[in-house]
Formats: sequence, structure tokens, C-alpha cells
Amino acid sequence: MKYSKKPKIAILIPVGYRGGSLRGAKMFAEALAAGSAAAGEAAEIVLGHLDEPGIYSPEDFADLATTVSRRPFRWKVLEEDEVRRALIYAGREEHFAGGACMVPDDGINCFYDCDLWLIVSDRLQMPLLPIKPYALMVFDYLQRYVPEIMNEESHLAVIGAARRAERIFVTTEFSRNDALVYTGVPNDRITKLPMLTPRFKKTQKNQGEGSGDDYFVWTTNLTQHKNHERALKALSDYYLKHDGKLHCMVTGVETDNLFSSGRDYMHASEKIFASTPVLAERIHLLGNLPEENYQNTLESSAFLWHPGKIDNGTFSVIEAAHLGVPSLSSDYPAMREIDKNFRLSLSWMDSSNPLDMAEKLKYMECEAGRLREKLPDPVFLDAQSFDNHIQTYWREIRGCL
Amino acid sequence: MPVKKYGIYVVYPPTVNLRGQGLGRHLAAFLKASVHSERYRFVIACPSWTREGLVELCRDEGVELDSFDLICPQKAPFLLRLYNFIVKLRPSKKARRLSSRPIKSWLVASEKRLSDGHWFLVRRLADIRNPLLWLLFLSVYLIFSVPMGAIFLFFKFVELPVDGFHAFYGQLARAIAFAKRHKRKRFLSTLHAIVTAPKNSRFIVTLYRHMVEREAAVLNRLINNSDDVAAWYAPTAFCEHFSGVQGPRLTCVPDVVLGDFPVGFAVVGDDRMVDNFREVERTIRASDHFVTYSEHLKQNTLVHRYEIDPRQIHVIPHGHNSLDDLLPDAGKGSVESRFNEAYLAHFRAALEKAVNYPAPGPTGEHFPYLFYASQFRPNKNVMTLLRAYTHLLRERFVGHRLVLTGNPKYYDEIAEFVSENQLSRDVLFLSGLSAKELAVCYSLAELAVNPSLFEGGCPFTLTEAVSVGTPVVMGKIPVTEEVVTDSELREMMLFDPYDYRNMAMKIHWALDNREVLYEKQRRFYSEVLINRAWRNVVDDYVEILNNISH
Repeated sequence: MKYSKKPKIAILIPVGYRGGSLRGAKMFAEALAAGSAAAGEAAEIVLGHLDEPGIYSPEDFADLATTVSRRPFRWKVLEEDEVRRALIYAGREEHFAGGACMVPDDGINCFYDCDLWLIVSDRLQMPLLPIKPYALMVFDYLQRYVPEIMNEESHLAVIGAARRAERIFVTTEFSRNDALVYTGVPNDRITKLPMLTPRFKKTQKNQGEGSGDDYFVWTTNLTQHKNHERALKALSDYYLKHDGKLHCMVTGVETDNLFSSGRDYMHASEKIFASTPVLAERIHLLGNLPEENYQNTLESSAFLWHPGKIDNGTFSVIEAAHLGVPSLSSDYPAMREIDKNFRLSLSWMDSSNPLDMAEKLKYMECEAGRLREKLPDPVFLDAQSFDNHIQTYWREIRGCL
Repeated sequence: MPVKKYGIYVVYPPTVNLRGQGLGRHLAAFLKASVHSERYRFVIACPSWTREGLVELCRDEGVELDSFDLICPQKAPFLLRLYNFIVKLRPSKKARRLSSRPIKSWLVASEKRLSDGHWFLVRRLADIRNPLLWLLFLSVYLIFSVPMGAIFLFFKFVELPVDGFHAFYGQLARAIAFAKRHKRKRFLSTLHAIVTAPKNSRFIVTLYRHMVEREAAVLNRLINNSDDVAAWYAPTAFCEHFSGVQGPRLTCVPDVVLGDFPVGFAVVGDDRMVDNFREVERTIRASDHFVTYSEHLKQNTLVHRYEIDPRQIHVIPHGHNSLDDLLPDAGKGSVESRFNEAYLAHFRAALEKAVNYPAPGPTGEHFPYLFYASQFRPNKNVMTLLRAYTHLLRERFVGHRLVLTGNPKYYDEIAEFVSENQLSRDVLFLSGLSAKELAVCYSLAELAVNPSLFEGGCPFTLTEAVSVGTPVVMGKIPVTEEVVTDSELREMMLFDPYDYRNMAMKIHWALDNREVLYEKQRRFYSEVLINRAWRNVVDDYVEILNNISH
């Protein structure tokens, strides 16, 4: 490290992530700021995000800790000659591999003032200019399981980015295995970090106390892997065959036009919705609620429903447990890890089988009260929180400096 | 006590004019300091093509030519002399404009008068109805048309030499265009580049490098044959040939700024910049002892990046760079002392140098403004300053203008930002200011701002502004913190240069607390900064040269 200089780390969000991914990036930054301070090595943490109109507003970062500074950037493409010159000046000529590269241009010095770049996700469409070492924080490798979300060129770009990184950080064993198999990166360059969860609001209810409302919450968004078509088929069966009593409150980014987005992969879902009148009566699209409104809505619900096909796991089930609400989840490895780590006693369904999904919805309607008693103790949940993992985060990231 | 001799190695390209550069002032400071010394005397070693510039520098700075010794090859290479001769034949744009303008104007006016007269006669012939009168006019027309035509042709002939140089280069350009169309471009393109823009010709650059190499070899032979110089000093790191000098050597490394801003310089420069960069690296690797202007540069660049033993590196901070000798009254602090008519006249002259300003131009009336004096380079952080200024103007409604001294035509990003944000009337670019105009711009500003991310030593903005009555706010960078050590003053005047909002907040505070800030800075300037005179700087250099010569 340079003389008497605080370590400076850039955490870069390479695409316009919102919702859970944005929250994850902010938590990552805060964990490093807090962890380095706790270790007596207070690092400067800079959160970089895209600076394009319509993606972010200042409100998106209003909850960012004051120990993290924020810097917008745009991707700048350098031609081969410029890449070569930049690497010569940076004293990294040996890293020149030919071809164009991209660099995060903050309008100041392209984050060259930082000692390490941590990229949140691996969505780099071109090689990154190797003037600084970088590591990737990859939450999932969805493209292995939902390959249509990426074309061949993008697959190669993602794999290339992983192989050039100093380290890949993941938060589940499932993703670690994906990193090993899909990217071909050696095991000693892959590190699993504990999953960071937000400091959720605690319920005001006593444990086991029921809810007076007649709905459950479905937290989703418009991405392809959220399994909308099967979810709607399941809901249709639930209401029509199982005489389902509960309404369905849909929340999340862009869900206010969930069935009118016009996206190609949503056509089948939109058709089901349009042709099944009971769905229009019982499904309520709340859109992306402010934090407090969402929590109040969730706390008063019968249960949380997570029918997504696959991802890195969702914090929404943990948040539900904090609020005394049980959850019904698709059965896939990342959710099994969350269930095990947080002792959530999740109920499971087969996300590829709408019939099973519908039966389980009816089950939850009847058993939600009993399932509340199996939720973990709040003291135990607190012990798994953010503050207990910050030093681990700092120790591992510091190893990259 | 015998006088000890120390050498100064000044090997710069033929294109470098010592008088226009900081290194010229640096050299002059050394020479002035030695004039009154009984302990040491300087020997300057320079190439043949630098002799004339050195003489001019000494004349401008009031240095006697017999106050130092000179080692210099007698004659410049013939090819260089021939080239200089050819280049002198081509008048500068300004010279062409000035020399041709009055003559050309008179010729054009005279041609117009002749033409008007001719057409008067022709129109009369067209509208006369009386045949006898018509015949009379025809006779007059025929009698006068011959001499008028001759005079007209004479004017045209006289214009040719005036336009001659234009025509020659115009013809050359047309010949090149023709050759390009007929695929005979390379030779003529090379010829064109040699004459009009030699540094863009790879052929010329290669030739020139060889010339410098040979000249340095001759110079080094002369140096090594004289054994009365105790130690040698090179004021810049652009001289790899310095390693050919035998004996103790001290190399100054002001900065290696390309290494700290690789992307910015990779984009604005081409491979010539890479060649220069590599030369600096070779110089560093071949040198024994070093001087830097700051501890930060010593550690960050020489020790950390180039792995130089810190015991071989000496830190000599700059002397103060004040402007009050140009504006004796300005530093008194009162509004009246700054806003006197003489200074305002220089300010108006400076405004006339505004570039890229939409018509009508800025008026000569004084207006409140923020001032940053710097060329536009990647490390100068002008974009962040522009963002801060836009925030102040549009979100905080601070109505000051922003005055800069760079030229945006050489920096697209800046020009685009100003255009996209419709700041053309709020941001002024005053390019090519004289020393006095610069001093006045500092003095009449409400606040000087320096957002630079990197310098070799503490930026001169601090002493330049405060010496003529203007407070300053600056980026919090290590080289500044090495000089501004008072914590209260740091808090008042330093901002995070990476955060435009923080910069804006500091500027806003400084404008609201101008007197308080200036008083604090003036005291610091008077008690601390002014004590670091250039003669103290030279003494430090001499001490090091003395130490390494043992």
C-alpha cells in the first residue's frame, strides 16, 4: 500500500440495477466502510453508478450511509492505441492484450484514485481497462438456468470478465459452484462471503400473533426469471379450483404495469391475465412501494409468496420473518441455503408445476397461523444481521489490496 | 576560500523557448542567487540552439552574462540552421495579417473606385437617349478605359507579392490535394508537414531525436573534459543524456503526471507523448540523486513506483510565486486599491481575449467572478469545477461568472459541457493573457479556485491570489497539505476535489465569508509563505550539490 494513504475502494454498479441488486450494492459498500473502520483501517469507499438520464434519482441513494461517497460515471470505450498508452502510463504494459477496452469515466480520473475496483455483478460487455485490479461480486449465474436472458456474445463477455478478475465473491454455495463450472475460474480465486441482510424493522406483534387482513404478498419484478406465467396459472387454479379466499398484493419494481409491459417474454402471462376475470378481481398491482409502506403491507399479510424460478435467493423471506410473517417459496438451492442459515422454516413448492403451486397456496391460507409459531426467535435473526459480518467482508476484500 | 563550481544541464529541444517556460524562471533564479555568492558559481551546459534563448532570458531577467560560465557547442547542426532559415521565410499568420493589411486595404479600395468609375460610364451609355451625347460618352469611355484597365492590372500585379506567401502555401496545399487524389500523397504530405507542422511528422521527429542525441554527446564530451565542476544538476527529467555526464549528478523530477492520469493523457495525446514519457522513465532509472518539490511526489512516485531508495531523494519546496510586484497596490487589501482605473484597463484588455464567447462579446464592465488560472490538462480537474459552478449557478443561484484561462478548443469535453449546459455566457475562457493581465484577473476576482487533483508541489494559486488581495479555495491534495499545515486554515480553504458538491459548498462559504478567509490567508502568507524566497530555494539546492560532491 502507498505511504500513509488510506485504502480507497470503488464499488461499481455496471448496469442500471434497481431493487434488490441496488440494495445489495449499497450494503456491500456500507459493510466495507464499517468493517474497515472497526478494524482500525478506515478505508474510503466510493459507490459508482451509471449516470444516464432516467436510471437513478438522488432519492435512490438517500439511505446510503454517510461513510460512503457516491460518484456517477459513464462507460467510456478506449480504442486499442489508447488502451496501450494508458497501460504504459500506468506501468501495466504487460497487461496489454490488444483490442478495445472500457473504463468507468467519472469525469475526474476514471476511478484511478482508487486502489481496487469491486464490480457488483459480472455484466461487463467488454474487457475492463486493466489499470487497476478488480474483483467481482456475483450474486447469481442465472444465465445457466435461464439461458435466453443472454446472447452468446454476452456469455463470452461475462466469462472473460470473470477470468480476468483478481477474485470472484459469491454469497451462496450454489453460486460458488456456478462460478467454478460456468466461468472456469480456479477455486482459489472464488470466495464465499456471508449473505448481508438489511437491518429490518422488527414486528410490533407478539410471536405467533395473527393478522386480520385477507391477502398475501407477492414480491416480484419484470425480469424473465420470475416465473410469471406459472405463477398466474397457479393463482388461477387457486381461485377457481381451490376456492382461494385471499387476495394477492403484488409489489416490486415495475410491477404496476406487470401485465401490460408489452415485453415479449410476458405475452403468455398477459394473455392468461386478460382471459381470467378472477385474476383481475383478486390481484392488486401496488407497484414499487416506499420502504415503510411495503413493511406495513407485509406485516399485515397472511404470508409472503416467492414463486420465482431461480436467483441468488431473496431477502424478502427474511424480512417477512422479522415481521412475523411466514413464507411459501420456490424450492431451489439458494433458498434452501437461506432457510438453513436463518432457520426460517419456509414452506416449499415446485415452481415448475402450477398445480403444486396452487395446492401450496391453499395450504398456506389454512396453515399460516400455525406456521407463524415456527418462525425464528428475533434474537437469533439479529445475530445473523449485517453488523456481524462486516469484519469478514473487510478481511476478505483487504486481501485483494 | 576557493569558489566551487556547480553545473546546470539544460538540454532541451530546439523548439523550447526558455523565456516562455517556468524552467526559464527557475534557471534565472539560480543565476541571480549566485551573483552575490562568494562560495559558488554556476556553469551552464546547453546545446548550441539554446545559446540565443539563454542570452535573451538573461537580458529579460537582468542577469549579467559574465556571472556564469557556459559550455556549449559552437555551431548548431547545418540541417537545423537550414530548417530555421526556411521556416523564417514563412511569415506567421499575425505577421501576414499585419504586413498585408494596410497595403491590401488600399489596393482593394482603389480597385473598387476604379471599378465604380468604369460602371458609372457604362450605365450612362445605357441610359443616354440623345445619339450625339451618346457618341460623346462612348469616346470618353474608350479614351479612359485603356488607362483604367492598365491601372487595374497594375494593382493586381502589386497584390501578388503581398499575397505571395499565401499563394505559395495555397499552391502547395492544392498540389498536395492533387497528389492525394492521384495517389502520390506520401512525399508531398511529408513535405507539407515539415513546413507547416514539423512535430506532426514522424520523419522529422526521428531526425530531430538523432540530432539531439548527437548534440548531447558533443556536449557531454565537452563537460567531461572540464574537471572543475563539483556536481551537476538537471532541472527536469526530460534529459536521458544527463547520464552521460561523469561525476555526481542531481536530477529534478517535478512530476510524472502521466503516470497518475493514464486514461486522460492516453486520450488527449498520441505516441509522441509515450516517447516523452519513456524518456522521463529512462532518466529516472539512470539517475543517482533526485530532487522533488514535495514529500508526496518523493514517496508516491519515486519510492513507490520506481523503487528509488528514499535516501537518494531530497525534497525542496518551491519559493513563493507572488504577483504583487506587477500590481503593487493590489495586495493592500482594500477594495479601492484593487479596483483602480489602471488595473481595470488591463482587465478590459483581458476580456478582449475571451474565446468562444457568443456575440456580442463580454463588456468591459467589472462583474463578480470566480477565477481559475490554468491550462486544461487531465489532472487540472476542470470538469468537476464546471459541475460545481453549474450547481452554484442553477441550484444555489450564485450569480458569479467563472473565468478560466485555458482554451476549450483543445479539450472537447469542456466545450461540450459548456454548450450542453448553456453556460456560454457565464463561463469565460481568456486565453493568452499577459503576466499583468493575469495578475489583474486574480486581483479583481471575488475568489480564486484551484480544483487540481495533482501537482508536483503546492499550487502557486495560493501565493499568486493572496499576494494581490484575493482569497482562494483549493482541492485537498497531499502537496497542498504539506504546506498548509494549520488545521483551522485547512478546514476553511480546502475541499474534496472528487466531490463537486463539496467544492460548491466550500466556494459558497468562501464567498459569504470572504474577508474572514482572506485575513487568515494573508496572515499565513505574511508569516510563513513569504519567508520561502527563491534565494532560499537555491541555497537548498547548493547544499545538496555540495553534499553529493563529497
